[in-house]
Amino acid sequence: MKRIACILLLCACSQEPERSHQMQFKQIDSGIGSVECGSEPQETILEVNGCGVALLDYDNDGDLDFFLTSSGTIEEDSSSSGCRLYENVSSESGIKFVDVTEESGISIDTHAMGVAIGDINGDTFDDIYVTCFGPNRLLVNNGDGAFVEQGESANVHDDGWGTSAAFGDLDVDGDLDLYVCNYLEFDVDNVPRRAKYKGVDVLGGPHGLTPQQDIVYENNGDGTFENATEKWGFDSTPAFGLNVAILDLNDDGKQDVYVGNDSMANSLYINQGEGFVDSGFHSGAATNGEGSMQATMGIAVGDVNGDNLPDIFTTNFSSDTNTLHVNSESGFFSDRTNAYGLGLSSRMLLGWTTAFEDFDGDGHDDLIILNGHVYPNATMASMDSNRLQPVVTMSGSPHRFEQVNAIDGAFDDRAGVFGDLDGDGDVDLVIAPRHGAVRVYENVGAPPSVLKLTLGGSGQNTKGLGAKVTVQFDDGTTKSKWNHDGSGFQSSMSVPLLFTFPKNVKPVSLDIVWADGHMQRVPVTDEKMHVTQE
Amino acid sequence: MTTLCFLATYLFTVGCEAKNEQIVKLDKEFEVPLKLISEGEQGSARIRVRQHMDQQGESAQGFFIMGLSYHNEKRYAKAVEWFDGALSFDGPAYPPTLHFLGWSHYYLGNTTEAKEAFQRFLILQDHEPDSMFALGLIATDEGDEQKALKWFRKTIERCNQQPQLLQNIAAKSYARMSDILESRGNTDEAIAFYLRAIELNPKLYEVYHRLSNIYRRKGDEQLAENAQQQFFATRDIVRPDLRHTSFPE
Repeated sequence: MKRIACILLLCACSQEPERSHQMQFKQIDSGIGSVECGSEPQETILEVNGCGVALLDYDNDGDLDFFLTSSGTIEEDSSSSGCRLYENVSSESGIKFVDVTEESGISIDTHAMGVAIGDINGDTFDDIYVTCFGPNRLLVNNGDGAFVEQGESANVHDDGWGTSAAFGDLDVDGDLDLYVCNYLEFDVDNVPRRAKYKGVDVLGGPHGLTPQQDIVYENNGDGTFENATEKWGFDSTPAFGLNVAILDLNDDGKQDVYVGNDSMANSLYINQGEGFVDSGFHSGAATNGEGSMQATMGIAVGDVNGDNLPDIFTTNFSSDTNTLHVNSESGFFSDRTNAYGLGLSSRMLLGWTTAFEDFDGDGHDDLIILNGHVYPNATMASMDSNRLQPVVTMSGSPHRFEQVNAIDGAFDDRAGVFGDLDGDGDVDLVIAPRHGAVRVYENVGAPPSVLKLTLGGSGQNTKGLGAKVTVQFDDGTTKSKWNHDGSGFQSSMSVPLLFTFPKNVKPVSLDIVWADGHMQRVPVTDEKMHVTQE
Repeated sequence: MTTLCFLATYLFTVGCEAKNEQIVKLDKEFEVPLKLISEGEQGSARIRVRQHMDQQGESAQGFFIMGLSYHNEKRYAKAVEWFDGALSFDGPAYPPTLHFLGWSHYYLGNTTEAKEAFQRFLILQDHEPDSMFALGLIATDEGDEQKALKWFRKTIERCNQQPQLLQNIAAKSYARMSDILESRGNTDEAIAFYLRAIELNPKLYEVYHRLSNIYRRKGDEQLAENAQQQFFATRDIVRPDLRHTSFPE
């Protein structure tokens, strides 16, 4: 008997321990130094939203570089650093970036806010659109490491208060059009009077201020754009626009637009082929399940219930909950926030950037939410919410998310981007607070089984923005992701798609629905694939 | 505000037949502050309570009223401080403290603490339906639909014993049961329960919105449109402030 027990014990010891899929991140020195975004003080609504971050591959070398905008205060147009571009020079020794702003010729020293990434001219190089308080900028990539600012000549230099923006092929002509969210009218010489929140004196707005109309630009295909807002039906009542995502939300093969508004109903513009109709209320996606309008800051898109339809998660104000809208085949979105465990846990937090990614490598998408209060005087005692708040990480399983504390500390975060920075197949983090040092986290959890996919679309849409990819696995299961711009918050992360899966299954084929609605089936031949539209 | 007025009436009149050996009544001195709170005069209420406690000494009920004033201002963290203080006094707890402590924790997202407070309250007053309803909501958030349905059914059973006074809580319970049924695909049953909810309380504006959505999913466009219009009309009467979000006030 003892002998059998010993043998069993020996067997157990000699086996490789089962990998636990825990979310684990380590903050690292990535070489960016103490680059800071935003600035103090925070006295008006202009100084609330912070900056934007983007992951892109500006030099087409196959790794992820990042771009940082820099918001400012009334007193100064921007923080001293201005907008910065960092090249990824990671190696086996770890994630590293070097500042290439000077070499790139990028010089934006104004109230820069958000950022969108897209190849606007079909030369295969990522171009950068920067929203600003004041004229927006378009940084056209020369392909040699340098950028040229062409906002005015390309006719995309709208001078409203731009927040988030996104590229997408809205008219199915093969090039990338542009949606720009505008926030509100703000006069620096006549700042809004202060307001009350829970009886506490706070900075004023957005209530009482005038919302600005969002703008949609049609790409003419020659490096210029024209305002197509009215022509395409994006002429809803102006709202406090903060975020946008462009993808096919009703699974009909055409690109739709979801817009998150502050303190007003969100919009879901459905592409009718001849134009767009705001179906926000009609589809249930404009409000939460009780019909209440929320203050949407962040947007995440993913498939939480495995039906291969895009679901929408939005982050909102404190003393309210974040909201999960689950999509259905009929095109209606149901508020399933509480059932997925995403409701009550968010009431003390004010959320910004959010995203679905499989951070722990278990094959299920998890959720990350960056938080921080808009009011510098926020405390639990006064507002039921502190100014500094945790990064919330939630581990996903079918039909449920459970909070895990993968990142220690409390922050005043706004923008963030998530992608495989070191090429090891898992998802790393770049996080920008409203003001302060940008933080880079390496994912140090167990390496996942992963299929890494980049796309090449037709025409000038050289990165295949807007494509839906569904992977078929050998056990009959499927998993869908959308290669889209926008979402997050003032950020862009249309990076290589990472499909993770359990060790005991293998990806067999890919079904791709491209932005123009064409379908393509491709066998899976490698763990890293690039698929070009036929 | 409507909820608070109702609860105040219920808890302080009907509800104080505590199950335990001792019935604790609200000190008459606090009736005026309570009235001020129900009228939205929280600051004045707090001054009254403070004055009373300065003269008569601090008390569990004084702390409770202070907590209630913050609860009514939706400053739940502050309310929790006072309610916890109220419960730290020697002697039997003033039962409604636990109930409102539960709701304050609920609105802060502290489900464990909320559940504990509601359960403690139900030990003292095992027939109190609003705490049962709250436990149903918490079970929903915990993903335990079966338990949530059980609590909502129990709430409705209890409400049926006093239909006039408790119809609002019954209506909310029907609506929450419908949400679960609808997510399970029991559309017709969900619609029937939503209709029952607004039959019991026609001012439950959010139910019209849910009805509208469920009709749309069914393809009943006209019914959906009617329900949506009813939602806007009812909301604008009951909660005109919700035409916009409420931050900042």
